[in-house]
Amino acid sequence: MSSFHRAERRKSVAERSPSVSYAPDTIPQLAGLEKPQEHNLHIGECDVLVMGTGLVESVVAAALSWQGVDVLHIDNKTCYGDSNSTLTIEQVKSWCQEVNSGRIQHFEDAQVYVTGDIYHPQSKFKSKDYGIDLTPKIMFAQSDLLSLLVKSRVYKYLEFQSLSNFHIFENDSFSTKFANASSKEEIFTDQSLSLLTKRYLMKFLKFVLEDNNDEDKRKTLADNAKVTIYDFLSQKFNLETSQINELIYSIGLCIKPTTKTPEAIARIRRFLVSFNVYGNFPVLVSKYGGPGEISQGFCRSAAVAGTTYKLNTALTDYDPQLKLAKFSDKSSIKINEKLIVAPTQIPKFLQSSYNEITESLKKVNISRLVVIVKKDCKEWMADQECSAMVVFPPESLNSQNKTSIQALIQNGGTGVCPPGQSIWYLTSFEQDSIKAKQDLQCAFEKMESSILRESSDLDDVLDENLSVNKSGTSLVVNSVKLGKSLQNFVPKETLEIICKFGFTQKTYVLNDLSNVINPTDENNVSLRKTKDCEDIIFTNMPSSEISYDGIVKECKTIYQAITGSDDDFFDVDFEDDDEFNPAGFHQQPTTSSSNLKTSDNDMAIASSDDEDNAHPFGADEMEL
Amino acid sequence: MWHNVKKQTLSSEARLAKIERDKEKIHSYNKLKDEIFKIRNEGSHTVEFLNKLTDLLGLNPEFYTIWNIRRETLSSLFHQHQLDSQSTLEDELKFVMVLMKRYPKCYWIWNHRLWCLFQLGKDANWEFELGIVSKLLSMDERNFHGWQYRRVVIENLETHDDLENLKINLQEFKFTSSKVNSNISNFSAWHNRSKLIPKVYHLVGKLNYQDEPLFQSKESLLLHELTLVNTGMYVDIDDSSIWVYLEWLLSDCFFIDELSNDKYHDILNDQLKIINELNDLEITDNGKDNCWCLKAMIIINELLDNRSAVRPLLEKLIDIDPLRRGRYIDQLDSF
Repeated sequence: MSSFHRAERRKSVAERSPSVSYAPDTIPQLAGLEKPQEHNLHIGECDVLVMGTGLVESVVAAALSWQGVDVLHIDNKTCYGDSNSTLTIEQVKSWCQEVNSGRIQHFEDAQVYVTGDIYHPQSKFKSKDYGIDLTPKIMFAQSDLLSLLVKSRVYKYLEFQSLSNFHIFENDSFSTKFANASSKEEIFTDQSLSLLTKRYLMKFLKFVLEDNNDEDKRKTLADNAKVTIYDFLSQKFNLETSQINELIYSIGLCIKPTTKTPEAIARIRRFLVSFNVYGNFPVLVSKYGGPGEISQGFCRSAAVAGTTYKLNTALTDYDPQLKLAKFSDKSSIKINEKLIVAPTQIPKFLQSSYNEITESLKKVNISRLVVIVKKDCKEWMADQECSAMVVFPPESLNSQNKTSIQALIQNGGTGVCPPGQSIWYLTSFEQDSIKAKQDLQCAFEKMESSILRESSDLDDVLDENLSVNKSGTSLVVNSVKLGKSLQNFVPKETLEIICKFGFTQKTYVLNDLSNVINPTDENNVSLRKTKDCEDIIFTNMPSSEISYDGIVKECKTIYQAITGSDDDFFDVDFEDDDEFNPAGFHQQPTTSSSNLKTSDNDMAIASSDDEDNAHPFGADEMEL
Repeated sequence: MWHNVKKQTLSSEARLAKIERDKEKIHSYNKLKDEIFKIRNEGSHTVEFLNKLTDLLGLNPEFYTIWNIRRETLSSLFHQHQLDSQSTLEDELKFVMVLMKRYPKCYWIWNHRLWCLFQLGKDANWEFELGIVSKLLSMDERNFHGWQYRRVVIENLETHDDLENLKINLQEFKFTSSKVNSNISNFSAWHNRSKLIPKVYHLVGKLNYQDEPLFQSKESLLLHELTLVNTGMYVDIDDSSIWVYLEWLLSDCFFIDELSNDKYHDILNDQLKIINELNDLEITDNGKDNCWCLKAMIIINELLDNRSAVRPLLEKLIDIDPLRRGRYIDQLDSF
């Protein structure tokens, strides 16, 4: 048995949704995924060696393999995902130890607290029932990674759920306004907004949604390139602070008040254009875990295209002249082209090169606090959903936070923890890590008292609100509760915590992703040249970005560095199985008409709750 | 959903490649077409012929002659008892459904679906059709084929029971409300609303139905709709559908015949004031009048018989809306 089987781990994507039981002739078996190579590697050479199974590395491995490049993909850990892993509680514990002993670069100050609960023999839930993301992320319905998932068909390995609730914390209470439904509809029907406010809000939304090539829009953005988004919204669109905050921090997910107008507009735009792409929600989350699952999905795709996988294996030596790589399992393999090395997988002999490359780059700190609580937090989520976002704008906490805090909440319905519980992922962008910890703790406490209040005795709240609200329907109660100030609330109970886990991660990707979007050999790790060894390409540590923005661009940058162009990046012609075959509708004379066809096509719309739904109605054929 | 979506243009290379790829398809299509017309001229109606029609329509459902031939052939095959009409028609509905998913805006597909249902007579499942069309409109809320089809389906769901019919149509009215709320820029929904309002009002009156306060008087109904339109104007001033609906509200005899002259003038003047204010906001923001506001002001002034107020408005329009300049100049002649 290899250590892969012995070690505690979550079910892999491949095990969760196995391929068809038969193996079609044209597709090689998925050896190397369910059962990664044991013992030493039985290959003599490969074109590209990829080290680290993080999201970017996995997408690159798949993109290369589908173009016929021979890829060997290894990871020095016993599970997939590297810095993007989705870990069990046990794995988190040992990960923290490794971090604190300095064995995983770019991670620091890991702390974990686990209650005895999951170790109790009678406990219903085990460590394996939890999947904790090291880099929690949400996916906009209109985004390059989602298009890539569809194009590469990796989406078929994954399950996605919608996320529509974005709460914003201000004046000591949580509120949600127009971010929660298709914005236009909310603005149209919201009785509390005046006609004038409606007009300005709509004008702004129209401006944001205007084609980016529109001359007026370009000019306005250029004129306001140095203006902060706050000033832009208040001066040009007469909006009030509460609306502005929601637009900047909740819809735009910006982190600083100094965010400049063009960047903020782009961020607000991605939210708005994502509505109604797949339904009345802007964002999707992948089930069972975020980037950890998606990277596995791409590994699986890469394996289908012929990539060889081996976990728990590290590079021990590389001879640039002979292009010979030696591995911890004693095998040695010739690398014809390049080595792609994730920063967490750097072997000792490459450390000095990496240090040299990164010396002049600005380091960015990301601080995270992950708390698993015994509450499903349904109060924060939209009907039928299992995830929500909570945002704390700058200066909204007692700790005088200078940057916003973003929190992703996922309950058991997403498969990352048992039912009745939820995981809270809080992220701070504060560079001073002591301050970041204070901010995170402060935000956590606000969330704690909020969820306790919202799930507390309903009668008290009812009595209180009925006098205020004459219509007093039960529907109103919930929204009043959500908006109610926290000041007078003293929790009667405390929140039961299963696990609390925090760490700081460092990256050379800037918060605004500018050095990913416009990479140069000056600003981006992957394009910097090493003196000693030209075959090595280092990848970036994950960015601080809560969405998957920038991932595809990073992959293309690396892909281009290897192949010379990104034109054929995932330019794969999968056999088109959507072709309509009218023969399925051929009639036979009366006698045998009852044994007629059950072709895949004759599904009625009413029952077509299948994966075809991912495609808009007749999208391919629509002529305008 | 399909509006404002850019049509993809192929690069010239890709287009050439596509032409090359399509060559064979076109050849077999033409061969099939010739064969079909030859058989048709011979007047032979067989199941094999029907299957050839199926193949051709799968390639090109816009070829309406083939749909006519198909109906002729089906009728003949039913008549000769070569095919069982009920099960064949049910298969037809499935066939049509698949085509409809691929070509949701092809007239002949919708037409053929209705033909099948009418042939099925009492066996037709109109409830199911309502489900289908609801699903379609949730995916593409501005497909006017879908809205037209919906009205036909509703007509066929109606019975001799007025109360039932009222409930069905009230449901429809609410459906249009939800569609309009989610996107005011949906003229099909506004249009359906204008069809439903008189129908529901009539039924409410006939049954003396008290549970719908909105439909108790035409005046309150009109004011309610005007509030909705006014919100729409503020939310999206450049959306044509609200302005067209506004004109219907202010000029249709359904509303105005029962209003006293004074009341009608009050409503028109109030509306004129609101639009004027909105136009002033536009002038402050953009430095010029809004075309839709001016056009609506012209219509209202005409309804008020304020002929002298129209001329300056038209002159402004000539200035700010050069694309329709000629039309305004023509209009000017009558003032």
